[in-house]
Amino acid sequence: MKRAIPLTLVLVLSIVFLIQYFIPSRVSQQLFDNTLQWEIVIGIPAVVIAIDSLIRHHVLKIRQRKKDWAYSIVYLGSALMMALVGIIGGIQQGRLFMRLFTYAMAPMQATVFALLAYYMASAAYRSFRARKAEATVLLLSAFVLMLGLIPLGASLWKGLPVIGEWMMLVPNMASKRAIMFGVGIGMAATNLKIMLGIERNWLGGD
Amino acid sequence: MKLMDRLGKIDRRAIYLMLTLAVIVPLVFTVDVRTHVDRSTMGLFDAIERIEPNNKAVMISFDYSPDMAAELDPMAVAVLRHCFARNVRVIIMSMYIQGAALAERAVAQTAAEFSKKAGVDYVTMGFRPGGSIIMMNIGENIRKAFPADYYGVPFDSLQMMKTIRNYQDIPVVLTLASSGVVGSWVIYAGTRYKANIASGVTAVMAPDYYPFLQTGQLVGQLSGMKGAAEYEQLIVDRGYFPRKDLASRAMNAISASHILLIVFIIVGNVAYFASARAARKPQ
Repeated sequence: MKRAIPLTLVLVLSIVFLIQYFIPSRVSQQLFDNTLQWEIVIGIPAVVIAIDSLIRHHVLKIRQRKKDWAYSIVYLGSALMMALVGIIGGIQQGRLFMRLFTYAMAPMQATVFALLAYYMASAAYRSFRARKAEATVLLLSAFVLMLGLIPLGASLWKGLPVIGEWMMLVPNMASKRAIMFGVGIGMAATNLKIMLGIERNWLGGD
Repeated sequence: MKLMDRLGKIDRRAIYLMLTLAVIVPLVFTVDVRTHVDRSTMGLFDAIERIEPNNKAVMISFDYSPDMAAELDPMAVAVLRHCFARNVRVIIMSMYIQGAALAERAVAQTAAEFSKKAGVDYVTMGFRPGGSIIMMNIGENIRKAFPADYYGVPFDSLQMMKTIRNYQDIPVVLTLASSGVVGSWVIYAGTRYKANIASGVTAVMAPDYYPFLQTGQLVGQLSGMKGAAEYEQLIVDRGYFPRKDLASRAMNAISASHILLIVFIIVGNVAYFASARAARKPQ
């Protein structure tokens, strides 16, 4: 029963909404419309569950003094502070919430991401070698694209940005499209497997 | 060979220092340079140019978090300036919880520049959980997706929204994204409801969406900081805004760092082949 009910629901609703897509009547549209509302309502408790799970995880870490447990205190403290500041003081421009977001949280996230540039520079120097013909083609393509993207490229030769754009629009697009077709077919196959109850991982482990 | 050995063993910290200088110096000492404008950028610009002023609205979805703000914020500001200068109304929303606050920052700056009023010239709807469900909800009736705006003002009290029901009243939907959400906009809003989708994405993500540009499923795309700089150039050239801004300045820093990377790659390869050649020589 525990598995039969969800599997039946998935099969029936999948078929219903597959057919619904091709029926442009008012009843069909209303059914779709109502389902969208249900989905939003179902989605909101998921946020509550996520917050609950996150708090439990960190509280447990602090209690058991696991590795880096002190960071969990920082995390919980920051989360609680942002929530209280937003609820009590409001979230409009100029309020403490927005100041904390703009001058603390946003720069911290941006800084962590910006560190990637240093790793890229170091990796480019150490690993980007023209060892084989394929690697040489990749290297030359990278040069043309990197120069084509910057204003200096056009100053050196007006054809560079044009070649760069062509590389993105033709060889890049051909390869991306092939990958996307593969992904699309894979998605359709997986959906079909879920609909027919062949793929059951979404039901959980037990 | 000593020189070659040294070139092959440049200290990591020296690389980091050179990169830091390559980014900071051009930001301080800026040089005004023109950027080649891609067709994808022109696509978005032209789509907004075609919108009749004080009528329908552009929707901008801030689907990113602060880590990507350096690349995507300048795009948002440039497009908002274009819309406000042409008196095109704007609906602002977010599929990312942090995107709502980033949107608030960008719209507060640009609305003040053009003396635009919330609820009349633009609305900020904030974040809604649900992703594709929200996209489809907007296609049915935007009121159901956003019963109130970011500040809790009821939908019916928003003057601008009285004539807007669904994507048919929104000629361009621009998603500023740092994830695969562009694909969802194309599938759920573009294919299903025939909405005109445009994207503003990070430079790393841009190649993924060229197939959608060719098929017309994306009417335009801003690719990374370059896309933002191109848009700044377009609005200055057409007289919508008096000066270029952050993205154009940042292009100098990007130019310097790209050149530095190319130099690193060349130096790395020269040193590698020189040492390989030396190793092959009989002692």
